Amino acid sequence: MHAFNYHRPSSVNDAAALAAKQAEGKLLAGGQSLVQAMKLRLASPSDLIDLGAIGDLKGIKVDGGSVSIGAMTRHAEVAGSAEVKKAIPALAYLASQIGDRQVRNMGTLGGSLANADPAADYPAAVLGLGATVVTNKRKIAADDFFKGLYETALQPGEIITQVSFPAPKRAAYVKFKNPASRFAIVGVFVADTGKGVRVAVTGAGPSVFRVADMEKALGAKFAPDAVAGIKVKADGLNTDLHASAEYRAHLVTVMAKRAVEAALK
Amino acid sequence: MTAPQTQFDPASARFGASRTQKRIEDDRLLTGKGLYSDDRTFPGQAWLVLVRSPYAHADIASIDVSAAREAPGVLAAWSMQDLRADGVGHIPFPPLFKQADGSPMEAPPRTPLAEGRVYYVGQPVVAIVAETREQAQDAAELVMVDYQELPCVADPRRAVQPDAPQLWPGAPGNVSAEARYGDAAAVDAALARAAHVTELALHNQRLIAMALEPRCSIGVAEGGRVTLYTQNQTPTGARDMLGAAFGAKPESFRVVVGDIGGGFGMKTGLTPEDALVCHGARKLRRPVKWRAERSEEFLGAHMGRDQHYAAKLALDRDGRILALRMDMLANFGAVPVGSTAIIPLALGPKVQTTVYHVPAVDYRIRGVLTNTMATGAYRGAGRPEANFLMERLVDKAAREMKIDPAELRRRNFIRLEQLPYATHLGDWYDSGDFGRVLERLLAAADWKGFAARREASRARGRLRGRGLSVYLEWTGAIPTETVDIQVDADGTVTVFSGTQAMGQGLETTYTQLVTEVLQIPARAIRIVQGDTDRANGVGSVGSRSAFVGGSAVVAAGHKVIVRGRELAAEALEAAAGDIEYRDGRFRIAGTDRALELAELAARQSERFIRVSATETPSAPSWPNGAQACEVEIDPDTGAVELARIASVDDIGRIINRMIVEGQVQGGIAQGAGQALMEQAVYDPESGQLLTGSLMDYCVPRADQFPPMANAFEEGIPCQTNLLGVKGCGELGTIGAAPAVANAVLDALAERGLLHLEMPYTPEKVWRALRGGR
Repeated sequence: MHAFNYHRPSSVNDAAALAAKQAEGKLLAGGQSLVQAMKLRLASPSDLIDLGAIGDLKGIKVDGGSVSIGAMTRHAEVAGSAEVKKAIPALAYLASQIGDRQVRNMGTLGGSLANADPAADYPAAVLGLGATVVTNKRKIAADDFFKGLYETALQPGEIITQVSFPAPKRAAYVKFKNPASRFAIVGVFVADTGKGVRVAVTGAGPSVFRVADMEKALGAKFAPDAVAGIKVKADGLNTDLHASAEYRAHLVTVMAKRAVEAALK
Repeated sequence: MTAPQTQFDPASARFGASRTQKRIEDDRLLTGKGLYSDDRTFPGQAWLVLVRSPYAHADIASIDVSAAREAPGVLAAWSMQDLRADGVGHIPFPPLFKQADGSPMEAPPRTPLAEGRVYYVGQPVVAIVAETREQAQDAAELVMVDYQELPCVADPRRAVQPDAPQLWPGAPGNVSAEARYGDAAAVDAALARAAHVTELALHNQRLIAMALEPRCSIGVAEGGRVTLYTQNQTPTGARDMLGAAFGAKPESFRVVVGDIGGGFGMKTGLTPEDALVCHGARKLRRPVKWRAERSEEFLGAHMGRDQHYAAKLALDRDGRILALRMDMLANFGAVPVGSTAIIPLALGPKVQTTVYHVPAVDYRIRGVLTNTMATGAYRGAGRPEANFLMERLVDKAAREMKIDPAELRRRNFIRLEQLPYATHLGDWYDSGDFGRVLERLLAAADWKGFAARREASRARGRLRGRGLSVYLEWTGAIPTETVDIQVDADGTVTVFSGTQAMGQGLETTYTQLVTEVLQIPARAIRIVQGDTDRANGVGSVGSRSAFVGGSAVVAAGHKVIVRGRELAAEALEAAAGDIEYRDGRFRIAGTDRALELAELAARQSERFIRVSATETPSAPSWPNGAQACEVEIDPDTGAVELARIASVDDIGRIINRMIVEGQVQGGIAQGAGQALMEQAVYDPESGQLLTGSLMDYCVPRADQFPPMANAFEEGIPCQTNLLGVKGCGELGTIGAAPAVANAVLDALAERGLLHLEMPYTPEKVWRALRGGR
């Protein structure tokens, strides 16, 4: 790890001001990706701006039809929250499936979304539930947030403060894990929102994406059979040692079907 | 199932043999009181960091360390040229093997730093020593190496082709060494008259040892010589190799080993990093420490397996084996380590026919140089590969000939009346009842109940398969160990052994043996290992510790009694023949005149009694066993789940049941890991390691295993050593890979598939289920 300057601001404004000053600086959330990259000397920020002391970024609020989660809320808190389990059980379950216990105790919702790892779990819930990402500057709809491989709509110095998830009628997340890392090779989040069905896929492509054909079919009939015959194209999907694009395309259908089954249980 | 545990009672007079006894060392290890290499820090300690090759094959046109030398905190920056100037040479491999034309085995010498050319990604090129590790890492980034890339080859099948890039002039065609065994004409004849010939080409893939504790070494100049603090299964061997690398007497080095967090054969011999910290200590007169990053362990520690086979098994009409022909390419890597050649060229062939009577064999084995990290000892070391080939051949033959796989095995076992049994390589199996072990396994695994379980799986949409393996190990490499025992005036009994614990519980096992022989409380006993000033020997490799080291412990214990009798006779003014020994006391028979061991020691002018015993079992031992595995496959994803695992092992006499169960279970996890998920993969074009982190190299985890049923056949003690033990460290691994493989292939058999290469990853199985599409 290279040497860096460390800052621990106590407000979002102070953090944003620091970030604006340090062009080579990085915001530090749970550090589960960034610190690893720094240890491997793949990332060498001049400054780390630790968001861990900002109380406003933490906590879970359930208000009527939506669940708002502070950006610095740890995965383990979401997984263990009785309120989340009651309002959106699929979201609590998804959080319980991220990484391992150590990662869940440190990793945060905001960090995961800002990093936008193609195999991360949270993007599937954000896009699948049609959540709203709230920053210190604006509100960004999920459909506008994810832009590509490790790319989001966030501007330099823009800080995610919370994410608001509308509670669906029913939803489920099923993932096929990479046997080594246990990241998603393919993870599918299916939500019957009451205003339509959303199907979001993580792990398969460079960025989380929706499958319009499946959403349409499930909108007509919310049943496993409705998606069993719908294939996504392998073109543009990820290929690595663990799974080819063709296999990932196949798994999208299998996981979507299983997610619908789980949502109906 | 695990037997009930007995809580360790330090006051108990004896452990008693074969009891389940909690491990003495665990209290220390589980409460953070272990002493691993990285726990040691010395005053004035500097840090060494390596610049490693990013290329698989390249000439080094120039190395410029001037900027690194000027960097803050830097004490030294060395290339091999600098080491040569100080008289540092290479770490030799044992000159055991030859090429086909009779000339000696050849390969690039293992210099601590690359000399003129790099041969694999991760090869050390420049060493930096600085005040802190971070300063050394910063300086390493300033080193300028001008590489001129050469064509590379990573796959031995490609390396032996005439137009392949050549690694070493002394190894034409990239063949470093070759071995032939058997009788080719007899095998030709058997193949000609065989009713059936089963053919199989397979790759026993490359694995990474993945010890939990990364390597860490510290060189310290002490008292006119250098001490290497490290983790090593063979401390004496490491000391001797230091002597060789530095052109010095081995005694000018001392090797000290504390606790080891897993070795599996990888922590044997001497590594370049060990030599470099010792050079640092000699040159700079300061303690110099190096610790591997996990990613350095992936690149820079020797790996295991990686053997390509083409084999033919000839059988008669009834499925009786007539002959085996095997042609194997062993991937040596580029720069062999001490154990690279012996594994495929000698250890595997020793057990190639395993528990079967095979009338004729013909083996050709070529050790091939490629631009990869060296392969070397890894749990089983040649024996898993040999057994895997045999068990896949026999299983495939059974399916092709439509004979029940258990029955085909039964027909070919070496029978009791054939023991002692001479192998084609000139060894003798002393004991074993392979038929009995298999029958016990079939009962324990409820082999007959499989059909109902398969139906239940089918009802849940899953394919179920079952697999068998029967297997044989050889243990007893260099079968001599010397053990000293010292009895002090305070009653402490100290055992000095050159074998080396690396997690397998030797402290407990040896303590049990001493309590049994000397009939004294365990709390009086200390086990000393891991210091070449205090004990020397071959070390712990190839499941030999109990077999050879344990035998020497018992021999030394008996010697304490013999010597003690003489001393007690003098002290009590009686004839030695009248002195009897019991429960730590020497007594004149039929009287109450007696001396405790401690009292007797106190009466000596040195105030201790010390004996030394060297024990050499008369021949190797042949642990053997059988495993059954059932798997369930999700046909939609290809994911394989382990559903049932059972084993019956004949390891001779058991000293500690809990320890051997742990050894077998851990071994099974490693073998199943190879079958289902582990593979070290080099890119064939660039020679880059594609599985260079735990994100891509998949190791098995506890949640992937069902409860295991591990039983032991205890009625067949080994005939060649004092204890009757056979060795248990590697059997689980040897048996599990073929049992799991045969189970997966059984599940896939209905799709007409007869073979598939390990590991059975989900996509590979999914493709197989789709008919290879």
